[in-house]
Amino acid sequence: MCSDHQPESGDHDHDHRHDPVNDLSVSNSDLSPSDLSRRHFLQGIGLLTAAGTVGTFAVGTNAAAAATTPVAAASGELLWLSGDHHIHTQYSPDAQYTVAQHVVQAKRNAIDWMVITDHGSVAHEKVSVARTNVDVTSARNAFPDMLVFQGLEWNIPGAEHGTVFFPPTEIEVLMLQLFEGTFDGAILRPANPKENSPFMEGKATDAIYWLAEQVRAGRVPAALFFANHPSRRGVDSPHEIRNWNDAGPGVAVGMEGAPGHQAAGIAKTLGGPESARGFYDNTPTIDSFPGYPLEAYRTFGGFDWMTATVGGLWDSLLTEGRRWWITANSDSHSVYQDTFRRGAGDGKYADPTSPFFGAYGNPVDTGAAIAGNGDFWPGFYSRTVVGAKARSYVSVMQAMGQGRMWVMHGDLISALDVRVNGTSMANDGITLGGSYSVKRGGDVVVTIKITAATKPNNNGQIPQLARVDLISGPQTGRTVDKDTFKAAGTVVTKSFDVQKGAKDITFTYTFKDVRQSFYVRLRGTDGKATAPGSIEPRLDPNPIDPWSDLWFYANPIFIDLA
Amino acid sequence: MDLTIALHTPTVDLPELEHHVFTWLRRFDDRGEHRPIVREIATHMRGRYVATLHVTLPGSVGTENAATLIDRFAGDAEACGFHVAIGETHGDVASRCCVDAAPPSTDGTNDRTAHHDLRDSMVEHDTQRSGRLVTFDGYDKLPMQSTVAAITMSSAIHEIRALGADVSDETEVVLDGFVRPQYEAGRIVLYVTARGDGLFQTYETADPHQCCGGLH
Repeated sequence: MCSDHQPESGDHDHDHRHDPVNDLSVSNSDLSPSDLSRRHFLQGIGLLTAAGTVGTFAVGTNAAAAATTPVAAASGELLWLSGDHHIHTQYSPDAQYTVAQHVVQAKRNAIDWMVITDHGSVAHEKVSVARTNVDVTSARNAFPDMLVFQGLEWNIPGAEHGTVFFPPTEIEVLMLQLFEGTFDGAILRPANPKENSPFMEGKATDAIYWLAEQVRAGRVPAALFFANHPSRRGVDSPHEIRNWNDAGPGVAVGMEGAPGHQAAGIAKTLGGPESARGFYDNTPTIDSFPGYPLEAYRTFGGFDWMTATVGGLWDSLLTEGRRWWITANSDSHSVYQDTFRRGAGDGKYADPTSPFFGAYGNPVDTGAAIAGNGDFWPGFYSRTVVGAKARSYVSVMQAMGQGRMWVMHGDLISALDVRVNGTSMANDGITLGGSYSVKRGGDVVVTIKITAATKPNNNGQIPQLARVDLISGPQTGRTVDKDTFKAAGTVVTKSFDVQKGAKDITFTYTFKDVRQSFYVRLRGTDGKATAPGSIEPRLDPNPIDPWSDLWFYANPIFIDLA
Repeated sequence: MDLTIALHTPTVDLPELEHHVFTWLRRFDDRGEHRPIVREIATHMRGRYVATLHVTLPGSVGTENAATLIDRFAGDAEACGFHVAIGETHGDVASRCCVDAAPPSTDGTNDRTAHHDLRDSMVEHDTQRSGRLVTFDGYDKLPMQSTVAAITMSSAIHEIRALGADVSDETEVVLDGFVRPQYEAGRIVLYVTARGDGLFQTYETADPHQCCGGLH
């Protein structure tokens, strides 16, 4: 289905000028039903003008370079689909866009699947979930090839935020409301004001048990939870993460390896907020895990400290053999250099007497770029690429649950295929998230195939991959201390320098005479920024141009002794 | 006479605690020559936010008046909603607690652990083991930007440590009027991070991004 040719995601290198939906000289009667639905959708939100052009929500140099690199990869029968599981709309108290705006922008940025995740709250549970569903349903009808999930940004009791979502079903609204009303930290907090308490931590694991139970009972085909911006405030302690994973190993499966808000470090002189990349500018509080070092609260090459640290918290989970995966998302609230401001109802979101309770009006185009916005559109900068067996909601969720994902910033590469096998000649083998079994004393070959970026990214650059690091660590079994966040045995096993201008890049590495279970994972960089005297990612300075330091990370493959 | 005063009131974050402490201190602005001299203010996190103050009573206060003044400290602190502990310090010896008072409990229970948290925080500050400093010797003379050498020469800060980078005596640090160093084993350390323009800035900033408009 998707071997060496451009896969289905290739059709996302779309150009609206050649789309009959946008060409008003093509009459409605000449359009297919789905195209007609999409035309009505675009007209309804004011994006399709009489001149037949698709309007834009963004201005400035970045928007001008909207043609993005489609993500393709050759991996047997897998479709590598780009997505984003962290997106906010007018149904969040701190956001503004319509679902439709996000869908249109995501399409422009070659996104195949997306999860709408507005913040949990009383207003959201009472009002927003149902209203969001109307908009999401409309978007699904208008764009049948875009998988639009409706989820929630859950206030994890006693911890940070997380994405929770189900595939579409007839009961998706009910399930989201039930979950949120029962388990959202913001809803629980008035009666339990101490945020960081055993009671609240217990509520979090209860919630994940509940999600897992809904899947077991067949009420929903799947349910997933990912911890968002896990190091931002230091409140996701190592034992909480382990407890979530224990409560629902098939549900609580990962975290954002890179937070959103990647434009937050852009200088004020360039219209950015000049906060910190990812808005990671916090310091420890009484709710923080006291063991985390100060640098944990900052990003490294745009990635969260838990992921960016070799031998750090993520590796400590992988060393245990935990299936704990990473993603990268936009967390899009208000987009850098966009011209739209929040619609009617500012300040009224939480007022149950207001008509804007749980929902702002549609955003208003001011006609000029608004300074201080720190986000990008879905797919504009961050991308989670999922190896699905079909273009379907459940297939995408299965792939995410199984860790068949890699992530990148700035469209650093076009495609990635990682295989573990006993021989370098094999074209098949175990790919990301999988487990490969080897006899004691046998060899394990890791084959890495990368297709370099060939088109300009949204900053107008064709990124040049400079180096790929193969990272490995032993599997040593479950730790006794659930607050461990170090894995001393995990190291960069091999760094591969990429020849400048190379398009199809292949690296292999052989682990000989294997006598212990272990895992491998990958990262790659454009090589523009590293920590002083090191190949490790740099603690991000502020201000920073996020396009000046690009990385990709791949989820692990486990190698188990037979 | 040297005192260590520890204060706790339920607050959502450190800036709010600092605000309450400074509001309380303004009550003593009318004391003229008997006005207590606040040498250092530190904050601590012990499951709750605690502020500790190193205070010197002017010699003009006199031993007899000191007891009255301490009582006033405690009374005003209670009136401001603080749980307060006051200790007398002698040289390097940690404070011996002479006052431990709490405002009337709103739910009819006494928070026993608060007492221990106040005492422990006093000891932390007195022994200079830990504590995030809000005021310290020379803090009010620090410019908006200065070199590492000048900062350590002109204030009580012993050392400037960069996270993820190195600094030298000549490194310029943007202070922006908000400097919160911390005690580490008897030394006052200011942490900084690199800026994109070759300068450094303080690790803790005055106005970090508020998630969700501060709603969560």
